[in-house]
Amino acid sequence: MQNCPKCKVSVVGNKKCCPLCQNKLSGKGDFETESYPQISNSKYIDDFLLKIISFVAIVCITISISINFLIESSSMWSLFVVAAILSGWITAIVGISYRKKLLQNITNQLFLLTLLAVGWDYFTGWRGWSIDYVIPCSCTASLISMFVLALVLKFPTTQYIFYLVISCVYGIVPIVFYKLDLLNVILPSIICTASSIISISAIVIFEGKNIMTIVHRKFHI
Amino acid sequence: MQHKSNQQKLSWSRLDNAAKIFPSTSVKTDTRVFRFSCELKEIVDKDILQQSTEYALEEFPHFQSVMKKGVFWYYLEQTDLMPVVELENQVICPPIYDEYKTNLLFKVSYFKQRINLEMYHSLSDGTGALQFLKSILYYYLTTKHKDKLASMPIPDFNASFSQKKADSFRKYYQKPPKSKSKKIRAYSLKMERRNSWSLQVIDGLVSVKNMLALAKSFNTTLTAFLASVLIEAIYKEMPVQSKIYPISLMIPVNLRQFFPSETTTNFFGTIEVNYNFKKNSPELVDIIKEIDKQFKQQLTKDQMAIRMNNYSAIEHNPFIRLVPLNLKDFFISNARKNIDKATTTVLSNVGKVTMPQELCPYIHSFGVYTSTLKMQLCACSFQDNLQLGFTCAFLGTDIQKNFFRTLTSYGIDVELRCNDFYSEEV
Repeated sequence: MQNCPKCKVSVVGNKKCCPLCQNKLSGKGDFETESYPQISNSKYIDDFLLKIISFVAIVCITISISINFLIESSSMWSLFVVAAILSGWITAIVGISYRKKLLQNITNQLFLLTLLAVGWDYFTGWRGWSIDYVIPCSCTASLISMFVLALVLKFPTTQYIFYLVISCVYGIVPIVFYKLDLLNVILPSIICTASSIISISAIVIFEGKNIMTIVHRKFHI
Repeated sequence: MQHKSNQQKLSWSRLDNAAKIFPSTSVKTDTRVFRFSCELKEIVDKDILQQSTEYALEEFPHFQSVMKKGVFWYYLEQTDLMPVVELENQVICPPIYDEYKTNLLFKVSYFKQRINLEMYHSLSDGTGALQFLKSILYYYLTTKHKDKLASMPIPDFNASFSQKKADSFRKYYQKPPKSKSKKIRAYSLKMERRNSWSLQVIDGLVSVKNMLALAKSFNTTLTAFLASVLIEAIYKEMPVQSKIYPISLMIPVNLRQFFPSETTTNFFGTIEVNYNFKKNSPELVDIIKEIDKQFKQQLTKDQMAIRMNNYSAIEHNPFIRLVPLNLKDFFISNARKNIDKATTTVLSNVGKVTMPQELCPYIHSFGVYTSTLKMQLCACSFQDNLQLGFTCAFLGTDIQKNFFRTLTSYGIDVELRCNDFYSEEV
């Protein structure tokens, strides 16, 4: 065992210096008795990926604004580039962060993407494509993917039902657009609302009890 | 972690009063994870440990939970995830709760002769975790040494499942009278931080007998003695201009000794002792006298009840309960910064760990470590081995040096273990 003549302590393992005063140790160390494993610098890969994405986003934004200034054009086209990059960035960050929670990820993305779509549609001279196509199509797609994932990955009911209900409720929203006469194309919205109503009635009829317990725990005060 | 089966379990539980604070305040190296370890006298067998952990979990079913976010509070939900025992391959007290993942709130790992149980504080406190580790050890040793320990009965913890998960804070809550106690600002440790978000461990193994004799020679208890030596160690590194601030130690206290409870969820309170070097003498004898006095004043049932109810009152306030969780997170993490200003560091003495007589020959010692943003000391003893474990997020080790040098100057033999300063770097 090693000893520190200054601190008068004995040291287990094979150390290069006294852990307390960092002076030289006397005696012979034995690596075999080391009581903690040596951890090579912990890898935070996901963290690193997020950093790279954020950095690339900032670089692209800066470059496009700079070019906009250099080429003296009358329009601020770079604002669109910036908005596009920011949209992509936030989608990527949310997607990567929640990658271990698939269903929650789908729900988050559903809200995020549809909101972004409405935003883009609104600021580029409202042509209605976001509520005609994007909202109903992504609602239907997320419903289908949730059902398939839950079946294939054999999730317990309690794990997916909450997100499924949220998506279904959201899927009924297009009927409001129809009522308000906002739609140019009605087919996607009809499909979306119909499938949402069918899904939600299936859930209520077969899993009503589970829904109540989940609501209870999610909203307990 | 793997899904054991596709069976549906619906049970869930609220977090207890203390547990509610932890999710909002887990940051960087203060992951709110603590570790209990047990060093055996033989190399640990992974498969037996895996099996023993699964057996033990059946006795503590509510530990098989994941934490989820509700609208107003976090809550625990039963899961069928099974723990997977691993060779120790991570920094000490790594983050366990991750909002983006679904996993159990404890980890069992091993290294050579040592078994580690790392637990997220929302799940349980030291007492609960220790019971769980003892149960794992019981199954481990009786399986490993079947021939000698076959006739050993299962140790009875005397508690039903519902008693184990009961929230004792609620049980003993009485609305406290309105009081305004102003927190005094304490000296705050400021040192250069370690490069990575990892904690350094320096733990010293000393003899319980010698330490008790030493504490007795100063007419005090072991905890008060350790607190005083720690205060003196910090004082020696304190810049002169900081001496206007007192050094304040927060000491967690197991409330089960005052309020009978079989719960394995959190049930602890804290006391604070402080010492002002501007007004008082820096001699160890005088520090001990003062600290001992403060311990005796605060460690009474009435005093503990007042503090406990004051903490619980926040949770019982209907307006606070209706604040959405994300806002709560924000306010609680800010409130924590204020509490931090009133404490220099934390000293946690778990005390004596006892095991059934038949199992003792196989066990060398127990240790306990907690995550921290600064530096923290934990102590726990088994037979004649007292483990004094410093976890530290700083580069400097001067406080630990002062602490152990004081002990050795009184003739105490110290055996150090450390997860740093390897002579062969990987």
